[in-house]
Amino acid sequence: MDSKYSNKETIIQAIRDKVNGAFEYIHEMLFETVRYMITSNKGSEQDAEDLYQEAIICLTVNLDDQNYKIKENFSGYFIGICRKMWIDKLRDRSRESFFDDTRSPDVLSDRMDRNLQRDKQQDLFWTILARLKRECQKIIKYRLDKKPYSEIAKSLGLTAATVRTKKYECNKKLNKLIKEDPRYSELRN
Amino acid sequence: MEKYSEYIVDYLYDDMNEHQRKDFEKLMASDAELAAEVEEQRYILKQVHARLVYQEAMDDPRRKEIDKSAKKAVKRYKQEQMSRSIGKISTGRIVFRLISVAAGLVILFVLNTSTGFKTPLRGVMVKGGSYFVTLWRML
Repeated sequence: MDSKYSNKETIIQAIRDKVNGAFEYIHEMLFETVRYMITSNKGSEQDAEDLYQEAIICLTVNLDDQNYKIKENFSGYFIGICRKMWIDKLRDRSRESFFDDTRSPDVLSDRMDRNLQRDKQQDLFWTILARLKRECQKIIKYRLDKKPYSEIAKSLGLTAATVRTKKYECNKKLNKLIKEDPRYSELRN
Repeated sequence: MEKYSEYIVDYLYDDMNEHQRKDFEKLMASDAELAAEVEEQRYILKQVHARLVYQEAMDDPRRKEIDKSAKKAVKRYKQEQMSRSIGKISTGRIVFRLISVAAGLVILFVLNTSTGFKTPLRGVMVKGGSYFVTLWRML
């Protein structure tokens, strides 16, 4: 997977140019997050697939306008689009259901935030992440985002060599904590 | 499996060059236990990464602005979608009408030429109408 797309301007231009690699990169980086967000908020696997595809089209439609600018962090922006689309879908569904009193997008948005908080206390991966140092979380995330070592080192005030060493240590600890948890074997079975 | 732990990490974090990657994949192809371990760790990293990305998006200090931009982007997309579907409906209607008129003219032409019922001073519609009247009378 090409790491050049970890740069916002590069990926935006690649989407405008309809470069396949850019769409593969977005899928690799963000689909699982979209899937997690949808399935933990009343959605199915199929809903996640459909919403992801629609969000990609929404992104390309907006970026087809050469003057359109994304001022924010790219992944945050894309997750924001998916979140908004999912809230709209949930609202449409609640309109169809007589017994569901959810009408307002704000109520749905708050409910999604509450679900996330609840999930953070129960979900295996969240609880394990909470036991990892913030620095470890950042190193794992940034490396999986394909951020260059030099950039990670700069943002954490470390050397690139230290980041590389910490990556092994953090990953080892993460695996150990997860595999030791009885919920993990249940999940895998 | 311990001896491969760093290789697994480098493989999963994309920190291998093309040559190392191919060698490691060959090794995995010949060692089912190693391949299973790599898959297991890949799954864990995928789940962890998904949550970290979500957390970062939710904790972003500029989240309100991001939500606003996302809202605008979705609105723009829906408007575009709507105007496209309206365009499609209008084009469809125009094409349907053109086809109907053309088909009508063809029918009238066939009917006129086949009956020899030609009255140049009459309009096309009258010619067709006359044919049906004649046919009706014959029946």
